[in-house]
Amino acid sequence: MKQGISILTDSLRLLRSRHLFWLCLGLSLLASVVLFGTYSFNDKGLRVLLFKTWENPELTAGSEGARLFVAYMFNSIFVGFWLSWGAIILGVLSTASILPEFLSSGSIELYLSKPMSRIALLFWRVLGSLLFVLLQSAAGVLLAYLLMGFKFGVWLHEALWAVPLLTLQFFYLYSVSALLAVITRSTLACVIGTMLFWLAVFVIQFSSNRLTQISGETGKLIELARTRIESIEHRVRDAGREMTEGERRAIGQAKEQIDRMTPMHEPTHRWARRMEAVKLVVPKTGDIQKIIANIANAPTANELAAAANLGGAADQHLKDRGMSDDELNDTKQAGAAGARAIRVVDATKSIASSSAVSLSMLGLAAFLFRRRDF
Amino acid sequence: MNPWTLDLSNVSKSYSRGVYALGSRNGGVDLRVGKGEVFGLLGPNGAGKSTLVKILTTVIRPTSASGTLLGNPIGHKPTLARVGYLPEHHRFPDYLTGRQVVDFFGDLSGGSRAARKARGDELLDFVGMRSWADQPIQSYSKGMRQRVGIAQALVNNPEFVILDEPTDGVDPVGRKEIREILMSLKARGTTVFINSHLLRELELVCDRVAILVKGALAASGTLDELTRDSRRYEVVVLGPPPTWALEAGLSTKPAGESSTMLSMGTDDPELVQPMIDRLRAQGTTIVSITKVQESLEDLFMRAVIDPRTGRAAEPGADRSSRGGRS
Repeated sequence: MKQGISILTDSLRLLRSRHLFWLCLGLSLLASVVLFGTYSFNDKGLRVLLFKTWENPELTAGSEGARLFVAYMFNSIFVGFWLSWGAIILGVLSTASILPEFLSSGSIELYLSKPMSRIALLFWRVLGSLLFVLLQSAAGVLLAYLLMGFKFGVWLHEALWAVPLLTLQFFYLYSVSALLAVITRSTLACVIGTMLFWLAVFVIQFSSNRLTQISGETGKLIELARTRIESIEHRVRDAGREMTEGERRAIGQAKEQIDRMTPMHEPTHRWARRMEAVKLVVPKTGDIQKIIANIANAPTANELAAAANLGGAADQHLKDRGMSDDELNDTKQAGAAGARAIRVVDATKSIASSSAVSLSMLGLAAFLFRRRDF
Repeated sequence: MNPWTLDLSNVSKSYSRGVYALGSRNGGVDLRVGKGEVFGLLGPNGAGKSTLVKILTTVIRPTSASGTLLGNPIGHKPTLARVGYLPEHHRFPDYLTGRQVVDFFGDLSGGSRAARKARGDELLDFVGMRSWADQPIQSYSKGMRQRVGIAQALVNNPEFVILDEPTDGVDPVGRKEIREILMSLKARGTTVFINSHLLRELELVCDRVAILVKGALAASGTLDELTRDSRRYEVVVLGPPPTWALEAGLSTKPAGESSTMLSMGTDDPELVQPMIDRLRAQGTTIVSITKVQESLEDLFMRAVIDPRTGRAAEPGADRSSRGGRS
């Protein structure tokens, strides 16, 4: 254990010696300040810097809209754009050389000649590399948490889960880097291999998300059309009268919607399920942001727009183009259902299956490292 | 109880296609190092010296190995807490200072941190790096890195120290200082195992040496033992060799145009006197009398030169299956 702590201490020294570490830390703190320190809520709405108030009764100080706005900024912008992409890319670049340098000739002999097992050496070295993202996300998230609490009165305790979860996301990628390092001892191979792996994982997740979203939207449109038909038929039956021309037209439009959506819904639903199966065997880096969002109860863009009444101009634009109230309502509900469908994730299953894949890669790296002559 | 600090038998390492880096298909290397000895392992490039050291330090896994290091089987990890090691071409993390290198690698060796910390300062002083201890390694010269390397190899107060090419890349002044460090270690009774090309260094500090050629031991013993057979007196006389030279057990060969060298295989001056008396009695002019003893370099060259071709062995271990066991 003492030896492991020495390796972690050395990893800290190593990270401190890298410019990218400080650059990334600075950007994390800057992102927190920009996203949570440059605006406030007052009794009229959202006040940007000290100059202008954007009047919105749904975004006043202490309102639910304000809470949702802050939670959205935290999850979708701070975590979604910066921490789970920018900081992790810098993390991959910055830590890619750690294991190849450790394994290089002239260095590895110094470690292997110590009374410490090879597995323990690799384990502590990998753990040391994970410190990069752990420290970055801890600094950024803590500052964001404090700003949200003190400035807006929104104490989003669940946001702190982002620190271990983002570190876990980085581990999904670093396990690939570790395996490549043991096989090739090349920093370049680690960077390129990890990025290609991440790209492949991204393509799988993106495809799965889009299929899930389309399946969710089309499914909702079909469901709403059926509900509308049933509702009209009920109303007519209960009243014991003939259907009016308007009702007949509405049923016709609803049936047309079902006919139009069904050929799209069924294959996308089927492929979405297949992609879910494929996702089982890849580390699901994209699920981390969804899990953080679900824990923090952060809204989707559609939900925020609905809560803060942000879509008024867009609604008017669609109405001007001839969209009926029913169609507009269906479209909005379908959009919300699609966005929500993407957000649905079984956290335990996602983390367990992703960790199993990453631990398998790390296990293979450990197996090769243990057998290798240097 | 095994009296040897290092007692190796049948150590070999082969890679793919039966190419041996150490030992051969017929058997491996046998080697013993006594407690408190300074032992030198010599050999041309690729002879298997570093392979042997890496097997001792678990950096590579042997194809075959039996024997003990500090009383425990080869490859026993906890034993390495009692071993210090300076690898050849070592590369310390360049973001560390000399003091941090000694502390960090000392920590990895285990044991009491407080004791090690105090010892680290003492060692940095011992290797003459006290004033540079808090400077980053990247600002060090090669010689300074070697000194810090030696300090880190000693920080766990090891009973057995392995130094692989400790004077590699070090200037003559640095080499002399490292030699003095080795002498101090010897005086403290630490068992030291040195791999080196620098025969003069080894000759000055080693109690025993072994010569590794093409993965096999060509010679092993004290310098005295190894050079005993080569010791002789060489007497150069004017004119042809005396008629009784062969009968008296002398070997002869021309020494210039009109001189002859008579060689007598002994290092005892008493045994040479009758020959001198006889030469003087017959009026032979004696030009010189020299007591000859092989240096380590002579010994090394004799081991390395192939008697069939008269040329030095090619670098690398034996790639045939005939490599012998000494």
